[in-house]
Amino acid sequence: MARVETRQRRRRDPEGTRLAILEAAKTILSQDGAEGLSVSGVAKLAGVNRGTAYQHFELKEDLVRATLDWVSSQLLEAVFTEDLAPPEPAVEVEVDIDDMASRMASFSLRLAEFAMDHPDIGRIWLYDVLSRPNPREDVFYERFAHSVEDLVRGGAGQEGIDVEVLAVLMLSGFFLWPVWVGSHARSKRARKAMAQRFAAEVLRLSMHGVVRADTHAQLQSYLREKLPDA
Amino acid sequence: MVFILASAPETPANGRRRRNPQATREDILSAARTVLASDGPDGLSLSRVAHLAGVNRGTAYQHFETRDDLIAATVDWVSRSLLEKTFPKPGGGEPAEQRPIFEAISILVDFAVENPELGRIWLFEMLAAENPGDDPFFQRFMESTEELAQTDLSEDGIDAEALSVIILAGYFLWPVWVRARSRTAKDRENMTQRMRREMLRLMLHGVMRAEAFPHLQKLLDESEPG
Repeated sequence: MARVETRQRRRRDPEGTRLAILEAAKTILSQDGAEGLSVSGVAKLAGVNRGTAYQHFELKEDLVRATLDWVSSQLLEAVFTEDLAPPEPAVEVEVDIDDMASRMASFSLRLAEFAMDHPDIGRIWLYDVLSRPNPREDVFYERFAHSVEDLVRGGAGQEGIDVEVLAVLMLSGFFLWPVWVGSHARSKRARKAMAQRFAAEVLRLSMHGVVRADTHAQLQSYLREKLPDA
Repeated sequence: MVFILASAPETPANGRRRRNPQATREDILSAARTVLASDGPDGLSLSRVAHLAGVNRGTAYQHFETRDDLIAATVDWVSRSLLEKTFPKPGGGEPAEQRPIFEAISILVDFAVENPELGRIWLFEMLAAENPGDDPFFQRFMESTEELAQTDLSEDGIDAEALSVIILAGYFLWPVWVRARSRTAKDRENMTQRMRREMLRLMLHGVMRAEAFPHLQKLLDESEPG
Protein backbone atom coordinates (compact mmCIF):
# COMPACT_ATOMS: atom_id res chain seq x y z
CA MET A 1 0.00 0.00 0.00
CA ALA A 2 1.31 3.43 -0.85
CA ARG A 3 2.72 5.22 2.12
CA VAL A 4 2.54 8.92 2.20
CA GLU A 5 5.72 10.37 3.46
CA THR A 6 5.39 12.38 6.59
CA ARG A 7 6.81 15.71 5.76
CA GLN A 8 8.07 18.53 7.80
CA ARG A 9 5.79 21.44 8.22
CA ARG A 10 5.67 23.25 4.94
CA ARG A 11 5.91 26.96 4.74
CA ARG A 12 4.65 29.03 1.89
CA ASP A 13 3.99 26.05 -0.29
CA PRO A 14 0.23 25.87 -0.32
CA GLU A 15 0.23 23.98 -3.60
CA GLY A 16 2.61 21.35 -2.21
CA THR A 17 0.47 21.04 0.91
CA ARG A 18 -2.65 20.67 -1.16
CA LEU A 19 -1.08 17.91 -3.22
CA ALA A 20 0.11 16.09 -0.10
CA ILE A 21 -3.44 16.25 1.26
CA LEU A 22 -4.94 14.99 -1.99
CA GLU A 23 -2.42 12.16 -2.18
CA ALA A 24 -3.26 11.09 1.37
CA ALA A 25 -6.99 11.39 0.69
CA LYS A 26 -6.60 9.19 -2.37
CA THR A 27 -4.85 6.54 -0.28
CA ILE A 28 -7.58 6.57 2.37
CA LEU A 29 -10.38 6.61 -0.20
CA SER A 30 -8.84 3.61 -1.98
CA GLN A 31 -8.55 1.66 1.25
CA ASP A 32 -11.69 2.58 3.13
CA GLY A 33 -13.98 4.44 0.76
CA ALA A 34 -15.61 7.77 1.53
CA GLU A 35 -17.08 6.41 4.79
CA GLY A 36 -13.60 5.92 6.21
CA LEU A 37 -12.36 9.38 5.29
CA SER A 38 -12.13 12.40 7.58
CA VAL A 39 -10.24 15.65 7.05
CA SER A 40 -8.31 15.08 10.27
CA GLY A 41 -7.38 11.50 9.36
CA VAL A 42 -6.14 12.70 6.00
CA ALA A 43 -4.17 15.54 7.61
CA LYS A 44 -2.47 13.06 9.90
CA LEU A 45 -1.50 10.75 7.05
CA ALA A 46 -0.27 13.70 4.99
CA GLY A 47 1.79 15.02 7.90
CA VAL A 48 0.00 18.33 7.71
CA ASN A 49 -1.51 19.96 10.73
CA ARG A 50 -5.23 19.78 11.07
CA GLY A 51 -5.86 23.50 10.96
CA THR A 52 -3.95 23.77 7.71
CA ALA A 53 -5.91 20.89 6.19
CA TYR A 54 -9.19 22.58 7.16
CA GLN A 55 -8.01 25.78 5.50
CA HIS A 56 -7.72 23.84 2.27
CA PHE A 57 -10.84 21.73 2.67
CA GLU A 58 -13.46 22.92 5.03
CA LEU A 59 -15.69 19.91 4.64
CA LYS A 60 -15.10 16.24 4.07
CA GLU A 61 -17.31 16.50 0.96
CA ASP A 62 -15.02 19.19 -0.49
CA LEU A 63 -12.04 16.96 0.04
CA VAL A 64 -13.67 13.92 -1.54
CA ARG A 65 -14.78 16.01 -4.53
CA ALA A 66 -11.32 17.56 -4.96
CA THR A 67 -9.66 14.15 -4.75
CA LEU A 68 -11.91 12.59 -7.37
CA ASP A 69 -11.51 15.61 -9.64
CA TRP A 70 -7.79 15.22 -9.28
CA VAL A 71 -8.02 11.50 -10.17
CA SER A 72 -10.08 12.48 -13.21
CA SER A 73 -7.44 14.91 -14.42
CA GLN A 74 -4.72 12.30 -13.90
CA LEU A 75 -6.81 9.89 -15.91
CA LEU A 76 -7.27 12.49 -18.63
CA GLU A 77 -3.56 13.13 -18.79
CA ALA A 78 -2.65 9.44 -18.83
CA VAL A 79 -5.16 8.44 -21.47
CA PHE A 80 -5.70 11.36 -23.80
CA THR A 81 -2.17 12.02 -24.87
CA GLU A 82 -3.61 12.91 -28.25
CA ASP A 83 -7.04 13.61 -29.56
CA LEU A 84 -9.05 10.54 -30.37
CA ALA A 85 -11.01 12.23 -33.07
CA PRO A 86 -9.60 14.45 -35.81
CA PRO A 87 -9.31 18.05 -34.62
CA GLU A 88 -12.01 19.38 -36.89
CA PRO A 89 -14.55 16.71 -37.54
CA ALA A 90 -16.22 17.40 -40.83
CA VAL A 91 -18.93 15.25 -42.27
CA GLU A 92 -17.62 14.91 -45.79
CA VAL A 93 -13.95 14.46 -45.06
CA GLU A 94 -12.78 10.92 -45.54
CA VAL A 95 -11.67 9.31 -42.33
CA ASP A 96 -8.05 8.31 -42.11
CA ILE A 97 -8.48 4.72 -40.98
CA ASP A 98 -4.92 4.00 -40.05
CA ASP A 99 -4.83 7.05 -37.94
CA MET A 100 -8.18 6.40 -36.31
CA ALA A 101 -7.41 2.76 -35.60
CA SER A 102 -4.06 3.50 -34.08
CA ARG A 103 -5.59 6.18 -31.87
CA MET A 104 -8.35 3.84 -30.76
CA ALA A 105 -5.88 1.03 -30.08
CA SER A 106 -3.54 3.11 -27.98
CA PHE A 107 -6.42 4.83 -26.23
CA SER A 108 -7.94 1.48 -25.18
CA LEU A 109 -4.62 0.20 -23.99
CA ARG A 110 -3.80 3.28 -21.95
CA LEU A 111 -7.22 3.30 -20.33
CA ALA A 112 -7.05 -0.43 -19.55
CA GLU A 113 -3.60 0.04 -18.02
CA PHE A 114 -4.67 3.01 -15.95
CA ALA A 115 -7.65 1.08 -14.60
CA MET A 116 -5.40 -1.87 -13.81
CA ASP A 117 -2.85 0.32 -12.03
CA HIS A 118 -5.47 2.21 -10.00
CA PRO A 119 -8.20 -0.36 -9.38
CA ASP A 120 -9.80 0.92 -6.18
CA ILE A 121 -9.70 4.64 -6.74
CA GLY A 122 -10.68 4.04 -10.37
CA ARG A 123 -13.84 2.27 -9.30
CA ILE A 124 -14.67 4.91 -6.72
CA TRP A 125 -14.20 7.57 -9.38
CA LEU A 126 -16.47 5.65 -11.75
CA TYR A 127 -19.32 5.28 -9.22
CA ASP A 128 -19.02 8.93 -8.41
CA VAL A 129 -19.12 10.06 -12.00
CA LEU A 130 -22.11 7.84 -12.77
CA SER A 131 -24.02 9.26 -9.80
CA ARG A 132 -23.31 12.91 -10.50
CA PRO A 133 -26.26 15.02 -11.59
CA ASN A 134 -24.09 16.35 -14.37
CA PRO A 135 -21.30 13.92 -15.23
CA ARG A 136 -20.01 16.28 -17.89
CA GLU A 137 -18.56 18.39 -15.11
CA ASP A 138 -16.01 15.62 -14.79
CA VAL A 139 -13.06 16.43 -17.05
CA PHE A 140 -12.37 12.87 -18.13
CA TYR A 141 -15.98 11.88 -18.73
CA GLU A 142 -16.56 15.07 -20.70
CA ARG A 143 -13.60 14.38 -22.95
CA PHE A 144 -14.48 10.73 -23.38
CA ALA A 145 -18.12 11.38 -24.29
CA HIS A 146 -17.02 14.21 -26.56
CA SER A 147 -14.66 11.91 -28.44
CA VAL A 148 -17.38 9.35 -29.04
CA GLU A 149 -19.69 12.12 -30.22
CA ASP A 150 -17.03 13.41 -32.59
CA LEU A 151 -16.54 9.94 -33.97
CA VAL A 152 -20.27 9.62 -34.60
CA ARG A 153 -20.62 13.12 -36.04
CA GLY A 154 -17.46 12.79 -38.08
CA GLY A 155 -19.14 10.06 -40.08
CA ALA A 156 -17.03 7.13 -38.91
CA GLY A 157 -19.58 5.93 -36.38
CA GLN A 158 -22.54 3.68 -36.94
CA GLU A 159 -26.03 5.04 -36.96
CA GLY A 160 -28.22 5.10 -33.89
CA ILE A 161 -25.52 4.99 -31.24
CA ASP A 162 -26.69 6.14 -27.83
CA VAL A 163 -23.48 7.86 -26.77
CA GLU A 164 -24.30 8.09 -23.08
CA VAL A 165 -25.28 4.46 -22.71
CA LEU A 166 -22.27 3.35 -24.72
CA ALA A 167 -19.92 5.52 -22.65
CA VAL A 168 -21.28 4.14 -19.36
CA LEU A 169 -21.08 0.59 -20.65
CA MET A 170 -17.50 0.88 -21.87
CA LEU A 171 -16.20 2.75 -18.83
CA SER A 172 -17.86 0.23 -16.52
CA GLY A 173 -16.12 -2.58 -18.35
CA PHE A 174 -12.71 -0.89 -18.13
CA PHE A 175 -12.99 -0.30 -14.40
CA LEU A 176 -14.57 -3.62 -13.41
CA TRP A 177 -12.16 -5.76 -15.41
CA PRO A 178 -9.39 -5.26 -12.79
CA VAL A 179 -11.69 -6.80 -10.17
CA TRP A 180 -11.88 -9.96 -12.25
CA VAL A 181 -8.16 -9.82 -12.98
CA GLY A 182 -7.30 -9.39 -9.30
CA SER A 183 -8.23 -12.98 -8.63
CA HIS A 184 -6.63 -14.30 -11.80
CA ALA A 185 -3.32 -12.56 -12.19
CA ARG A 186 -0.91 -12.06 -9.37
CA SER A 187 2.20 -10.78 -11.10
CA LYS A 188 2.64 -7.38 -12.63
CA ARG A 189 3.38 -9.01 -15.95
CA ALA A 190 0.24 -11.10 -15.83
CA ARG A 191 -1.83 -8.01 -15.06
CA LYS A 192 -0.31 -6.15 -17.96
CA ALA A 193 -1.13 -9.03 -20.25
CA MET A 194 -4.72 -8.98 -18.98
CA ALA A 195 -4.94 -5.23 -19.63
CA GLN A 196 -3.80 -5.88 -23.19
CA ARG A 197 -6.38 -8.60 -23.63
CA PHE A 198 -9.12 -6.32 -22.46
CA ALA A 199 -7.98 -3.47 -24.68
CA ALA A 200 -7.96 -5.82 -27.66
CA GLU A 201 -11.53 -6.94 -26.96
CA VAL A 202 -12.74 -3.35 -26.58
CA LEU A 203 -11.07 -2.51 -29.85
CA ARG A 204 -12.66 -5.50 -31.55
CA LEU A 205 -16.07 -4.69 -30.13
CA SER A 206 -15.78 -1.03 -31.10
CA MET A 207 -14.51 -1.77 -34.55
CA HIS A 208 -17.62 -3.80 -35.32
CA GLY A 209 -20.15 -2.31 -32.98
CA VAL A 210 -19.27 1.36 -33.02
CA VAL A 211 -17.37 2.13 -36.18
CA ARG A 212 -19.20 2.07 -39.49
CA ALA A 213 -19.22 -1.11 -41.52
CA ASP A 214 -17.33 0.11 -44.59
CA THR A 215 -14.27 0.89 -42.54
CA HIS A 216 -14.05 -2.69 -41.25
CA ALA A 217 -11.84 -4.23 -43.86
CA GLN A 218 -9.15 -1.63 -43.44
CA LEU A 219 -9.39 -1.76 -39.67
CA GLN A 220 -9.19 -5.54 -39.73
CA SER A 221 -5.97 -5.58 -41.66
CA TYR A 222 -4.59 -2.84 -39.46
CA LEU A 223 -5.42 -4.90 -36.38
CA ARG A 224 -3.87 -8.05 -37.74
CA GLU A 225 -0.69 -6.16 -38.36
CA LYS A 226 -0.48 -4.27 -35.12
CA LEU A 227 -2.11 -6.57 -32.63
CA PRO A 228 -1.24 -10.12 -33.62
CA ASP A 229 -2.81 -11.52 -30.45
CA ALA A 230 -6.05 -9.66 -30.79
CA MET B 1 -38.02 0.37 -5.34
CA VAL B 2 -37.16 -3.24 -5.22
CA PHE B 3 -39.93 -5.49 -4.56
CA ILE B 4 -39.52 -8.72 -6.21
CA LEU B 5 -38.50 -9.81 -2.75
CA ALA B 6 -40.68 -12.17 -0.81
CA SER B 7 -43.07 -10.34 1.46
CA ALA B 8 -42.06 -9.95 5.07
CA PRO B 9 -42.55 -13.14 7.03
CA GLU B 10 -45.68 -13.18 9.12
CA THR B 11 -45.06 -13.38 12.81
CA PRO B 12 -47.54 -15.45 14.77
CA ALA B 13 -49.43 -13.66 17.50
CA ASN B 14 -47.40 -15.12 20.32
CA GLY B 15 -44.21 -13.87 18.69
CA ARG B 16 -42.78 -17.31 18.41
CA ARG B 17 -42.85 -19.68 15.61
CA ARG B 18 -42.19 -23.27 15.07
CA ARG B 19 -41.35 -23.98 11.59
CA ASN B 20 -38.84 -25.85 9.63
CA PRO B 21 -35.27 -24.59 9.50
CA GLN B 22 -35.50 -24.18 5.73
CA ALA B 23 -38.32 -21.65 6.06
CA THR B 24 -36.45 -19.78 8.78
CA ARG B 25 -33.40 -19.64 6.57
CA GLU B 26 -35.51 -18.22 3.74
CA ASP B 27 -36.92 -15.57 6.07
CA ILE B 28 -33.46 -14.53 7.16
CA LEU B 29 -32.22 -14.33 3.59
CA SER B 30 -35.24 -12.34 2.51
CA ALA B 31 -34.62 -9.88 5.35
CA ALA B 32 -30.95 -9.66 4.34
CA ARG B 33 -31.98 -8.75 0.79
CA THR B 34 -34.27 -6.04 2.08
CA VAL B 35 -31.45 -4.54 4.15
CA LEU B 36 -28.89 -4.82 1.36
CA ALA B 37 -31.30 -3.35 -1.16
CA SER B 38 -31.97 -0.29 0.94
CA ASP B 39 -28.63 0.34 2.66
CA GLY B 40 -26.02 -1.72 0.87
CA PRO B 41 -23.46 -3.97 2.56
CA ASP B 42 -22.49 -1.28 5.08
CA GLY B 43 -25.93 -1.40 6.65
CA LEU B 44 -25.91 -5.16 7.05
CA SER B 45 -25.53 -6.77 10.44
CA LEU B 46 -26.77 -10.16 11.60
CA SER B 47 -28.70 -8.68 14.48
CA ARG B 48 -30.51 -6.18 12.27
CA VAL B 49 -31.39 -8.94 9.84
CA ALA B 50 -32.56 -11.24 12.64
CA HIS B 51 -34.75 -8.48 14.01
CA LEU B 52 -36.30 -7.74 10.63
CA ALA B 53 -36.87 -11.44 9.99
CA GLY B 54 -38.53 -11.81 13.39
CA VAL B 55 -36.19 -14.56 14.51
CA ASN B 56 -33.99 -14.41 17.53
CA ARG B 57 -30.34 -13.67 17.17
CA GLY B 58 -29.19 -17.06 18.31
CA THR B 59 -31.29 -18.71 15.63
CA ALA B 60 -29.92 -16.39 12.97
CA TYR B 61 -26.36 -17.21 14.03
CA GLN B 62 -27.12 -20.90 13.69
CA HIS B 63 -27.91 -20.31 10.04
CA PHE B 64 -25.28 -17.73 9.22
CA GLU B 65 -22.27 -17.43 11.42
CA THR B 66 -20.99 -14.19 9.96
CA ARG B 67 -22.21 -11.31 7.90
CA ASP B 68 -19.97 -12.55 5.08
CA ASP B 69 -21.91 -15.83 5.05
CA LEU B 70 -25.07 -13.81 4.68
CA ILE B 71 -23.61 -11.81 1.79
CA ALA B 72 -22.37 -15.00 0.12
CA ALA B 73 -25.83 -16.56 0.40
CA THR B 74 -27.41 -13.42 -1.06
CA VAL B 75 -24.95 -13.39 -3.95
CA ASP B 76 -25.87 -16.99 -4.63
CA TRP B 77 -29.58 -16.11 -4.55
CA VAL B 78 -29.06 -13.29 -7.10
CA SER B 79 -27.08 -15.59 -9.33
CA ARG B 80 -29.73 -18.30 -9.26
CA SER B 81 -32.52 -15.82 -9.87
CA LEU B 82 -30.70 -14.46 -12.90
CA LEU B 83 -30.03 -17.95 -14.16
CA GLU B 84 -33.67 -18.99 -13.85
CA LYS B 85 -34.92 -15.86 -15.54
CA THR B 86 -32.50 -15.77 -18.44
CA PHE B 87 -31.87 -19.44 -19.03
CA PRO B 88 -35.12 -21.15 -18.02
CA LYS B 89 -34.21 -24.32 -19.87
CA PRO B 90 -31.08 -26.14 -18.79
CA GLY B 91 -28.43 -26.64 -21.45
CA GLY B 92 -28.43 -24.80 -24.74
CA GLY B 93 -30.31 -26.73 -27.37
CA GLU B 94 -31.76 -24.11 -29.64
CA PRO B 95 -29.68 -22.89 -32.56
CA ALA B 96 -27.99 -19.54 -31.96
CA GLU B 97 -30.13 -17.64 -34.45
CA GLN B 98 -33.28 -18.65 -32.60
CA ARG B 99 -32.17 -17.64 -29.17
CA PRO B 100 -34.39 -15.07 -27.54
CA ILE B 101 -31.59 -12.52 -27.42
CA PHE B 102 -33.63 -9.36 -27.04
CA GLU B 103 -35.74 -11.03 -24.35
CA ALA B 104 -32.60 -11.96 -22.43
CA ILE B 105 -31.27 -8.40 -22.75
CA SER B 106 -34.56 -7.02 -21.46
CA ILE B 107 -34.67 -9.39 -18.51
CA LEU B 108 -31.16 -8.44 -17.45
CA VAL B 109 -31.65 -4.68 -17.83
CA ASP B 110 -34.94 -4.87 -15.93
CA PHE B 111 -33.49 -6.95 -13.13
CA ALA B 112 -30.52 -4.59 -12.78
CA VAL B 113 -32.70 -1.47 -12.69
CA GLU B 114 -35.18 -3.01 -10.24
CA ASN B 115 -32.46 -4.38 -7.96
CA PRO B 116 -29.62 -1.88 -8.21
CA GLU B 117 -27.85 -2.66 -4.95
CA LEU B 118 -28.30 -6.43 -5.09
CA GLY B 119 -27.17 -6.51 -8.68
CA ARG B 120 -24.02 -4.54 -7.94
CA ILE B 121 -23.21 -6.63 -4.89
CA TRP B 122 -23.55 -9.74 -6.99
CA LEU B 123 -21.38 -8.32 -9.80
CA PHE B 124 -18.62 -7.21 -7.51
CA GLU B 125 -18.53 -10.28 -5.29
CA MET B 126 -18.67 -12.57 -8.29
CA LEU B 127 -15.83 -10.79 -10.12
CA ALA B 128 -13.71 -10.67 -6.98
CA ALA B 129 -14.25 -14.33 -6.12
CA GLU B 130 -11.31 -16.67 -6.20
CA ASN B 131 -13.06 -18.62 -8.89
CA PRO B 132 -15.81 -16.67 -10.69
CA GLY B 133 -16.41 -19.74 -12.83
CA ASP B 134 -18.20 -21.20 -9.80
CA ASP B 135 -20.94 -18.62 -10.04
CA PRO B 136 -23.83 -20.43 -11.76
CA PHE B 137 -25.12 -17.46 -13.72
CA PHE B 138 -21.75 -16.13 -14.78
CA GLN B 139 -20.70 -19.59 -15.88
CA ARG B 140 -23.81 -20.05 -17.99
CA PHE B 141 -23.58 -16.55 -19.41
CA MET B 142 -19.99 -17.02 -20.46
CA GLU B 143 -20.65 -20.46 -21.92
CA SER B 144 -23.45 -19.01 -23.96
CA THR B 145 -21.17 -16.21 -25.20
CA GLU B 146 -18.53 -18.79 -26.08
CA GLU B 147 -21.04 -20.95 -27.93
CA LEU B 148 -22.14 -17.97 -29.96
CA ALA B 149 -18.52 -16.97 -30.59
CA GLN B 150 -17.83 -20.41 -32.05
CA THR B 151 -20.63 -20.30 -34.57
CA ASP B 152 -20.26 -18.52 -37.87
CA LEU B 153 -23.10 -16.23 -36.87
CA SER B 154 -20.71 -14.15 -34.83
CA GLU B 155 -17.70 -12.00 -35.51
CA ASP B 156 -14.24 -13.55 -35.35
CA GLY B 157 -11.80 -13.24 -32.52
CA ILE B 158 -14.21 -12.63 -29.65
CA ASP B 159 -12.67 -12.85 -26.18
CA ALA B 160 -15.68 -14.32 -24.36
CA GLU B 161 -14.33 -13.62 -20.91
CA ALA B 162 -13.52 -9.96 -21.49
CA LEU B 163 -16.74 -9.47 -23.44
CA SER B 164 -18.83 -11.05 -20.66
CA VAL B 165 -17.30 -8.70 -18.10
CA ILE B 166 -17.96 -5.64 -20.30
CA ILE B 167 -21.58 -6.59 -20.88
CA LEU B 168 -22.36 -7.49 -17.28
CA ALA B 169 -20.57 -4.44 -15.90
CA GLY B 170 -22.65 -2.32 -18.26
CA TYR B 171 -25.95 -3.84 -17.16
CA PHE B 172 -25.24 -3.58 -13.46
CA LEU B 173 -23.69 -0.10 -13.37
CA TRP B 174 -26.26 1.54 -15.60
CA PRO B 175 -28.70 1.75 -12.63
CA VAL B 176 -26.26 4.06 -10.84
CA TRP B 177 -26.62 6.45 -13.75
CA VAL B 178 -30.37 5.93 -13.91
CA ARG B 179 -30.90 6.60 -10.23
CA ALA B 180 -29.00 9.89 -10.37
CA ARG B 181 -31.06 11.15 -13.29
CA SER B 182 -34.55 9.80 -13.14
CA ARG B 183 -37.20 11.57 -11.11
CA THR B 184 -40.22 9.61 -12.19
CA ALA B 185 -41.07 6.04 -13.01
CA LYS B 186 -41.45 7.19 -16.60
CA ASP B 187 -37.90 8.55 -16.70
CA ARG B 188 -36.70 5.28 -15.33
CA GLU B 189 -38.59 3.27 -17.90
CA ASN B 190 -37.23 5.48 -20.64
CA MET B 191 -33.65 4.96 -19.48
CA THR B 192 -34.22 1.24 -19.10
CA GLN B 193 -35.43 1.18 -22.68
CA ARG B 194 -32.35 3.09 -23.83
CA MET B 195 -30.05 0.46 -22.31
CA ARG B 196 -32.05 -2.38 -23.90
CA ARG B 197 -31.75 -0.73 -27.26
CA GLU B 198 -28.07 0.21 -27.09
CA MET B 199 -27.14 -3.23 -25.81
CA LEU B 200 -29.07 -4.83 -28.66
CA ARG B 201 -27.40 -2.50 -31.15
CA LEU B 202 -23.94 -3.18 -29.81
CA MET B 203 -24.47 -6.95 -29.69
CA LEU B 204 -26.01 -7.09 -33.12
CA HIS B 205 -23.17 -5.19 -34.74
CA GLY B 206 -20.23 -5.78 -32.44
CA VAL B 207 -20.71 -9.42 -31.55
CA MET B 208 -23.11 -11.11 -33.94
CA ARG B 209 -23.28 -10.94 -37.67
CA ALA B 210 -26.27 -8.69 -38.15
CA GLU B 211 -27.27 -10.31 -41.44
CA ALA B 212 -27.93 -13.60 -39.65
CA PHE B 213 -30.47 -11.95 -37.35
CA PRO B 214 -32.86 -9.98 -39.55
CA HIS B 215 -35.62 -9.99 -36.91
CA LEU B 216 -33.30 -8.24 -34.44
CA GLN B 217 -32.21 -5.70 -37.03
CA LYS B 218 -35.87 -5.01 -37.72
CA LEU B 219 -36.56 -4.56 -34.01
CA LEU B 220 -33.67 -2.14 -33.78
CA ASP B 221 -34.74 -0.18 -36.84
CA GLU B 222 -38.24 0.19 -35.46
CA SER B 223 -37.21 1.45 -32.05
CA GLU B 224 -36.41 5.07 -31.41
CA PRO B 225 -32.83 5.95 -30.63
CA GLY B 226 -32.43 7.50 -27.18
